[in-house]
Amino acid sequence: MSDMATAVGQLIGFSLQPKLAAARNEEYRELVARYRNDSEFQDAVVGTLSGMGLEVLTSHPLQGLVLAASAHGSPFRFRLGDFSANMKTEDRHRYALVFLAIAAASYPRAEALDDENGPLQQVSVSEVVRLLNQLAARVAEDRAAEHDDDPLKDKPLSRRLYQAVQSWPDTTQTKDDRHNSRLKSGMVSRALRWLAENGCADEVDTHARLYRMRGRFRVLVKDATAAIMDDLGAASIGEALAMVRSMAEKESESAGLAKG
Amino acid sequence: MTGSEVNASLFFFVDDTLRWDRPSLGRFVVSRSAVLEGWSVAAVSVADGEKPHDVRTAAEGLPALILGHESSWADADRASIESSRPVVAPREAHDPTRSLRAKALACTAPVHDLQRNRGLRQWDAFDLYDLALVAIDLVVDKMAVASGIGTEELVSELARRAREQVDETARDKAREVAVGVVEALVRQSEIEYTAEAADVRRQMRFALLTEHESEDGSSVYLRATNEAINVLIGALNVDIESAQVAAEAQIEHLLNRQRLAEATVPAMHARMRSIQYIDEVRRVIAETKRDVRRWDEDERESVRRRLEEIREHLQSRIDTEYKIVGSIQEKRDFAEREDLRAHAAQLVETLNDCFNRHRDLHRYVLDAADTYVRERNRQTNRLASIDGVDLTDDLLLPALAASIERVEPVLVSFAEPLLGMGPGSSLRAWPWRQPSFGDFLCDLLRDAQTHDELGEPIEDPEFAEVATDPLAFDEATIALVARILGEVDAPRRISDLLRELHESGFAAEDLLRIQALLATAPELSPAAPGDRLLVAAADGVTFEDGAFAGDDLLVAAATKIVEQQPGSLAVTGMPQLRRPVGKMVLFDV
Repeated sequence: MSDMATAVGQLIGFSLQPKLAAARNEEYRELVARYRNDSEFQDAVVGTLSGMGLEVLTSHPLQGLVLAASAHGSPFRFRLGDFSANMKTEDRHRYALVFLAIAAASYPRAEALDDENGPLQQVSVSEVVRLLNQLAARVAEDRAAEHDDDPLKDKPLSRRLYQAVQSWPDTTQTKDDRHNSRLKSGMVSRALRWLAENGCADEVDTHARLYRMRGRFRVLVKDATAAIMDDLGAASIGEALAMVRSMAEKESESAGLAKG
Repeated sequence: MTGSEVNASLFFFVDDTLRWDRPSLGRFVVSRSAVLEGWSVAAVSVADGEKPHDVRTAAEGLPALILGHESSWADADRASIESSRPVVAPREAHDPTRSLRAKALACTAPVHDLQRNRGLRQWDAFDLYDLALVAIDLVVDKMAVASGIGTEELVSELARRAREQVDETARDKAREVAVGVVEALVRQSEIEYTAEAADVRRQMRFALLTEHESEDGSSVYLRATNEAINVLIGALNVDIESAQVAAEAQIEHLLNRQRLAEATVPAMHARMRSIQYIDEVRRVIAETKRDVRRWDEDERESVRRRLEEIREHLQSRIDTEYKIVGSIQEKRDFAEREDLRAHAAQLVETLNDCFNRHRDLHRYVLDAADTYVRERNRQTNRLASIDGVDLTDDLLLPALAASIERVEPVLVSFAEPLLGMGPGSSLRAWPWRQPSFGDFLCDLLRDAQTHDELGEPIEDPEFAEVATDPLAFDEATIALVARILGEVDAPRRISDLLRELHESGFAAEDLLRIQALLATAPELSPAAPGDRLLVAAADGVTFEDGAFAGDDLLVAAATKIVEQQPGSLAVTGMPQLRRPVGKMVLFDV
């Protein structure tokens, strides 16, 4: 039994190593094969990982095991605060939104998100900023057409998100402000750099701030979508998306629903 | 011209107006949006001497599409021409190739930009059209089912070709140019076009080359898109299977008429098509992996049939190619003419290339069909149920319309998994380079059981009976000569040895002669240290003896192996061959 325990530990150790692919390491390869074929071993590995706060996203004979932090309470999980050291609470939505925008710019249509062997998507800082602005403008138009302009209230958080986007400065001319998170472009740039450091993207052109999104990012985006489903308590992704859509309703309606 | 070859010598786009120049009765400028909507363009002819820049000045600085292709006008069309209305054929009801044609035309824009702007980057000395085509060629050549040329390798090779294009002065720019060309080909561009009758303006992202992760996730390689390959062969026809069958029929037809030189052209087309077919098959299989859960029985049945069709098509290609190669080789053996032989050799190589690709694909399809069957029995998985999600429309847009306080938790739920993982805030715990998730969904849903990597056995094509050469000498003769030669130790004259075999007949003498001749080139025989090696050399003495005459060779056994001296065997003037022996043998005769 302790032999199995050692093997479990070894496999986990390999999986956590940066730059290690099973294709290059025979021991790792053997352990992965055992994981895939021996259900008792697999259970032991999954159980240990789960205890640590990790889960297996994929196992592949050539790539090895790919791990991710489990949903909540995992010591491995990054929080938004890890991404930005001095984040103010009222800015949380901006930081989070930027990641969604990058995901949407990378996989604009469902086919791109679902295509596991597809071409790697390229995304630039300016593209993401443009996307946010265009969509915010579209929402503003729609709501103006319906005479649905909510008056700006004192509490900034009861504004609509698109209004926050529109009042958020895009960029300045100075180079120093490239990563200034008070600017859209600065925050997008920081987020992309974080993703690049975590193996989700490669920087293709520093000047143009152009990145190539890797396969890992695609899967994490799927994982992120599933996380919404879990956190909203929805039984399916369709239900979760419907709940998000309902958040966009007019305030009087949704207020009624919320209280109900 | 609809659906047929667009033999455009230049690609340009104008603004959205439709211009038609009557006096020349043939110059027809089509707007970009018109082309992208898939309007059938009536044939045009450009009069000799008409220059593209005439059109450009009429348009607005943006390039225009000119079709420099002679065609005949239908009589009906001529009537409407006379009435000076622009002649454009009615929009087709539902043209499935429209978006593909639009893409094919728009895809070349980056290449034209490269060539046009080369002055700005001081690349005037280089021919960027040529380099772009070479780059696509290189990518296509190395493109396999799940691998291909790496970016750095491509840039290096392209830089080498670029250096060949120019003289000394411009050579140091070669690498910069190569990088620029590759970037332009890989860069994703967007075009807008109007899809079908719904008047919906769609945006399409495309590129000529795409980047993909290698199987072990550690590196990135390049593939060429369908559009890129179409640019190479200049055709917009998209039914690859028919194109392949047609190309092979052409090859057979030309072969039967000994027109081998002409047959190389359809052979190269066939090769391009076989490369395109790889992506077609990948696409079908990717779709099966993606949608299989949501299908009903009819859809599943149709997919199974499609996979079966593909498999049969591949089998048929393999058989045909094998047959054609066989018939070429028969002809090749008898071909007297040098040029015919050269063409035949090239044909064989091209067809073998197709054959190998089809065989790999065949294996891939069998494996995929296998996977597909298993997939129908798998359990649902959390991530697998996340498909068909349009992040922009389904998530980002509604989120923007919601109030911040309501939507913030959702945004945070989404963002945090994207941050990755690590103990606390240490980034380094997470692998820097992530393996790709190429087979991710497939693996999650697959039962964890032994996986037969080989798939179903492939039926080999039937081989013709191999003719075995009959032995030239019978066993007794061989044994006799071996004995005689085995007794040789100190050098002996061949005339001597032949005399010993006089009684045994001509065959034995002949065999001895042959063995002795072989022995004059000992490096042609494999030998290990310690082996007894027969050597022979001429020293100027000749002989005549009934049936044989010539150099009276000294035949001996070499038993001492000494250190190699480079070039020592060059003296004998024999070709040097590699042998298992680590050292060369110097003879002590």
